[in-house]
Amino acid sequence: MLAILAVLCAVAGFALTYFLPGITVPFGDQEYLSLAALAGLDSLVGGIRAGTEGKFQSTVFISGFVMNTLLAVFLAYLGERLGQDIGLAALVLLGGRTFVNLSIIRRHWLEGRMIGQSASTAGGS
Amino acid sequence: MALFLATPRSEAKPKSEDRSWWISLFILCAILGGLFGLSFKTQNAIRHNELPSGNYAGLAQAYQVLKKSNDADRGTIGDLQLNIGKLEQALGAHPGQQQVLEDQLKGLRFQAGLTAVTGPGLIVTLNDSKKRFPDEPASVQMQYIIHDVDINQVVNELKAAGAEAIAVNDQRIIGMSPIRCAGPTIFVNNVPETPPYVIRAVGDAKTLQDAMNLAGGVVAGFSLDPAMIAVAKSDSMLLPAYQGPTESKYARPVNDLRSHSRSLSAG
Repeated sequence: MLAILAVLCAVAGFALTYFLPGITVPFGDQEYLSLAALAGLDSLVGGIRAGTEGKFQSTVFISGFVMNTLLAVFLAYLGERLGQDIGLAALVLLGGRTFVNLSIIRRHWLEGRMIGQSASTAGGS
Repeated sequence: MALFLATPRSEAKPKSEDRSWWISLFILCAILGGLFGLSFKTQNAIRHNELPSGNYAGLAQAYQVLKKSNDADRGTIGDLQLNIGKLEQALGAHPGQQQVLEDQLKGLRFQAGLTAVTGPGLIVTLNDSKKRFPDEPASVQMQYIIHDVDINQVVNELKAAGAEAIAVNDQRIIGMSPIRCAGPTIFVNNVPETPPYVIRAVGDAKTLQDAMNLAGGVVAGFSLDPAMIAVAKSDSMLLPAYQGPTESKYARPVNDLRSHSRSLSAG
């Protein structure tokens, strides 16, 4: 199913970069990389939430993914240039949005299950 | 997750677009997984390679122990070299071939920097700037401190100008002498030295001084604060002998160059 395939792709990508010895990143750029990963995770979770609400749009999702990761890295770089840790703001907000979206997804999913259960009990009785 | 597919979309989409967005979703998931993998791997490597920055107490203690054993070793080296000198003298008591050998040995040790020397030459003193700029960023403040590259440049210019012996503070500079920064201290021959750095060079004082004052040279490089460098001639100075380790673990002498290159090409 779609979700399982998507997770498989993510795991494949993870394994590819983790276990191949050739691909490395200089130590100084590590914080940008983790910020980009978090931005990607946030847009992915946002896309899933849009899907549960029925408002999913592929163009919005894909463009959001790409732009968020690039923007997060740019913000962190800008922060380092200016002397202020602007990456911290990006980190906090991305994490916050991930949590909010996750709870919305969870609520939709649970509501759907409860509606289904009450419908089945109503139909059964 | 079944809800995801079952929920009716709010707008109708053409079939071709349906197919393509799955693919982009998979690609994006793979990219995300890749980003996470890279982050994990790099973070692991960082944790592996860098010194534990929190454990200053442990590092300080290890440093003290190493410093003590280092000082003890230097004392031993000094004693052993004295011993060697005595043995050579005793050998020289037998006249004839030993005398020739001993003279040659003395000459070689003099050239290698293993004996103290005296002679006229130049004294170059490098010191950190007295000016203080607490409001400036670190990159500007760094320009008012003496770095290992400054000492290296002075030593190099003196060598190019024909200096026959050079010493930095109390350390004699020989061919393999390192001059290196580690934090706020400069290590010469792996011995920490503090400013002011007095660089003494035996040679033709006039030539050495001209080398320092070349256009675009060493003295010109200190244009930000000319007080950081002071150059003075000297009629007679005493330079100490090199006291560091002299054993060679990897390099071996080649006695006959021709047979050596023959054996290399044969193998």
